[in-house]
Amino acid sequence: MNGRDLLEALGQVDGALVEAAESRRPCRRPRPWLLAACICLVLAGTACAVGTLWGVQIGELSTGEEESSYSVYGTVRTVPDANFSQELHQILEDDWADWWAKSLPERMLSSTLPGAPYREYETWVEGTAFLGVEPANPLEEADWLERAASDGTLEGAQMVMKHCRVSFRGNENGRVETASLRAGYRSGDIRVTLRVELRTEYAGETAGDGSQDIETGAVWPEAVNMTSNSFAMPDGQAAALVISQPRREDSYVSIDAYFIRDGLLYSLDVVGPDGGDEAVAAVRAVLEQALNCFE
Amino acid sequence: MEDQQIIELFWNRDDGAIPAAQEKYGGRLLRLAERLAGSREDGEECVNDTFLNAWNAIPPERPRLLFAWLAKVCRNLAFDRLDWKKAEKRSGEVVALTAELESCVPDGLREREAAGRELGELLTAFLETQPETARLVFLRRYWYGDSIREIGERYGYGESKVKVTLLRTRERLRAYLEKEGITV
Repeated sequence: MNGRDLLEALGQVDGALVEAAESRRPCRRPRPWLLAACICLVLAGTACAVGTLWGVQIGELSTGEEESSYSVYGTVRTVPDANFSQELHQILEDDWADWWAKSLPERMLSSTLPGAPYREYETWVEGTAFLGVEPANPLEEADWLERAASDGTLEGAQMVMKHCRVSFRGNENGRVETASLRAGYRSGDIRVTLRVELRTEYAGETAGDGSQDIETGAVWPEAVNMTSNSFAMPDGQAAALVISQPRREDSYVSIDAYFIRDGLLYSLDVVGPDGGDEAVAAVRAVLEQALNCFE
Repeated sequence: MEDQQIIELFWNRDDGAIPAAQEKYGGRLLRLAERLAGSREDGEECVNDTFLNAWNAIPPERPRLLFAWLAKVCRNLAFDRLDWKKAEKRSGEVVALTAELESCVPDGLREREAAGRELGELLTAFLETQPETARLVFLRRYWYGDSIREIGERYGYGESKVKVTLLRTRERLRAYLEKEGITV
């Protein structure tokens, strides 16, 4: 059997599939990622080894005067909705119930959407206990990092967030669609945030092997210089890196690392003040030290 | 004209059958044939032969989905026209498609003879388990022979997304064939 055999054998597939490919247009969803408040790293192209289903790849990098963006593509495993905690499911149902209890004018004027609550915790362990699922995070035990708010800010008058935030989204039936944990750290004046995303069977189209193809990335309302490359993790997999710096003065340096761990998408964002090559090197050093924690 | 009406024309041996089918599907079939056969001239001959085949086959055949039936015949004719061993100039597009699909063949199955219908059923089963986006992009590339750019324009995707989607689906296909190949 060879590629030619496959190409010709495709002629035998069910006619309904052939017709659908001629007439159907898949439902297009808006890009789900939020506008980045800080410079996100540019993702570099990352070669995905043939036969490796769990992997991350960088897509288009786009720099424009009024908008810059990059895309990340990955394949992740789904986490069954049933694996999430009863407490989380109850909060989701209550959130929807509160929404429908509002009057129409109240719903129209509401600044929040239903089905997307969050909770905050002092530690990652507390966050995973609430979630009911326990993605690993070795940064919690890293003695070279200082714990900070989930966005990387430190305690003080400005800090209003706790160390770990669990965000989740679900439908009116109480089914979880997606969930994420995010924790923040500091290394001097460099901010570090780690985020892991979980998707259930209700999040989107799932392949027969239980995997989902996902697309994420970042968008800025300004010109951002971006470069990309990769980093070899201790387990041999490659993290896709995006290094980004806004073109305006007094900006910052940011490196985003995306990698798959146990079939889940992790993103590690490291941000430091701008300062030329030395600043980039400093941020890169912190990033690599953090990535090397994932043995 | 509706597909069922065209099929009835063929069924009743009406001289208007081929012109009706030509008007409705001739353009799409020509694009498919031209791409796979490698030239407009060969493509046109494939399309003409497709309608001749339809005239000879209906009845007794009665296609459930007319376009899919015609397109399959046309596709097979285009491949037949490609003489893999003797052609001085092969269809560049087909060469590229073949090379891409080569990565889907598990090492353990390379020495095995490919049974067309059996493999076709496996491919149908595999495609039915794929997300719609992946399935449509895969078929547009490897069934219809669309270029990456054309697929991107068709669905409003960037070329990177098309390439990554195809890569992922090919990887899944390889894993699927590897798994199914043990029991085949």
